[in-house]
Amino acid sequence: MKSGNIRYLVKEGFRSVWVNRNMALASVGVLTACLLLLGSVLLCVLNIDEAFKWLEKQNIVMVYVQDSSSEQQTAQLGEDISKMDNIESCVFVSKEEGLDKQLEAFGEDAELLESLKDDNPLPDAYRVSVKDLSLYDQTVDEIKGMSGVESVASNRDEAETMTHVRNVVSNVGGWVIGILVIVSLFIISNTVKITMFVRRLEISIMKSVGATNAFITIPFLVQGMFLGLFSAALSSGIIWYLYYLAAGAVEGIMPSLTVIPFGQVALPIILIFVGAGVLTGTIGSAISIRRHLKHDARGIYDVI
Amino acid sequence: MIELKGVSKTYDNGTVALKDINLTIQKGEFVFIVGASGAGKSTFLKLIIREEVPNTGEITVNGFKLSSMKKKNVPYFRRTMGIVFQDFRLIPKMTVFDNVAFAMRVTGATTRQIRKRVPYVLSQVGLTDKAHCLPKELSGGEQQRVGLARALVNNPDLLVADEPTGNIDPQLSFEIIELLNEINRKGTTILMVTHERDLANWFDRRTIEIRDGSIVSDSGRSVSDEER
Repeated sequence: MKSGNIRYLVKEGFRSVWVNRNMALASVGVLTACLLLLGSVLLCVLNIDEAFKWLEKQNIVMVYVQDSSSEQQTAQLGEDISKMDNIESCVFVSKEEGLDKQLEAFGEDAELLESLKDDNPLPDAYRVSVKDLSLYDQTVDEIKGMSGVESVASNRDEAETMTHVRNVVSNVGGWVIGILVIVSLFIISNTVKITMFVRRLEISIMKSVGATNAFITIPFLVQGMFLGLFSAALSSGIIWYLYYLAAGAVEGIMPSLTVIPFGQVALPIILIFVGAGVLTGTIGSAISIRRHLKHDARGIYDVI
Repeated sequence: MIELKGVSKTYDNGTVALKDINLTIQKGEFVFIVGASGAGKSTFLKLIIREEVPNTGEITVNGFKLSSMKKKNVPYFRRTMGIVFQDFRLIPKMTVFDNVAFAMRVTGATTRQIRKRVPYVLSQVGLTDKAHCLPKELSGGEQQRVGLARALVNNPDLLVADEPTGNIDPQLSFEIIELLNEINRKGTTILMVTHERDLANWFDRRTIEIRDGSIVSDSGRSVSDEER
């Protein structure tokens, strides 16, 4: 096909979008919502995975000592832990130190808890770090079994919570995305169908002078593609802004959590948006084109 | 050029439109197809341009065997003919020039070819001055001349005119047919469908009358101007 023709067909595709701009807006709206959700789920999952990695590096176990233990028993426990094979270090944290650290973490609100200093509810503890992460669970279980241990705070619980959140997000997100994809396809194919109806006079003339089916339908394919591309661009902008807001909020609530900077994931997210958008748009219009060619193909004489 | 052998057409709803039509039209002829509405004229035309296919019989137009032709070849067949419609079928938002250029554009012509050919065809139908007008700024007769220019722009061997004078003032009808005559003199075969018998009689050309799906009269091959 000659370059002049390609230019013409693309231009006609854009014109199709403009001719039927209200429906184009509806298509872009739904497809954008779909892409935004897809992006949100992806970003959520990516961040949870990132948090997992961070958590794995935090191979620290807090071992809380029973309140009833004597100083000697507590010291013995420390020694026992230190003697274990898989222990990198074992540092004693007195209940006073523990409270100070907590207060520090609370920052300005710490004043509210100042009164606790006289009646410290925290137990003494050991901050234990593990050598080999693959033996982490085993080591934690071993420590739990020692005498004088009140409880062990390992990051296993957090990991479980995060796995759960990750599953829920990807399952629910997957279903909603699936439904939205179907709605998008439906709306885009209808948009193209209506555009075909609006342009039926042109189509009938094209047929009468011998334009090929490809020549007649390519602009509608371009229309669908463009709707997808536009939705992808719009979603990329919106998700960048939403992510910026969400990251700020998360870091405000949980300063210890590191959120992946958007720049790091921008390229894959945008590529996924463009791919999914263009694919949905093209398939949507292909559905209408197929139907037009197969079933209700308007002849030269069926203009009105 | 056009040959129909034992052609019959019955629509899915049972309407019998044409019965055992046998007809030959030579290259360079000017033929009127006349008949009342519902006689089968439209079906005849639709068969010729392969908008419909017959149930039985063989149709050959411009060397294409229409009954056995594959769908994908229909566009290439249509490029050998020009079609003029009763309702003009002009695109309201396009200028006269663009309406004519459209027919070239969608069959893959280049801008250079279009710029060369369209002004020439517009001059043939006497619309050079109106090239940049919109259809609504033209009279009915002028609009039909744009339709004619569009049908001619791809240089067809056969021009099919479906009631081309049906929507314009009677005095302008003659003007359109004169134009068709002129085109015919340059060698294009013309097939004009009309319900206005008087118009056909006035221009002493081959006239085929269809009634109830059958050819009831055929004045025979008209004498072309060169032979006269």
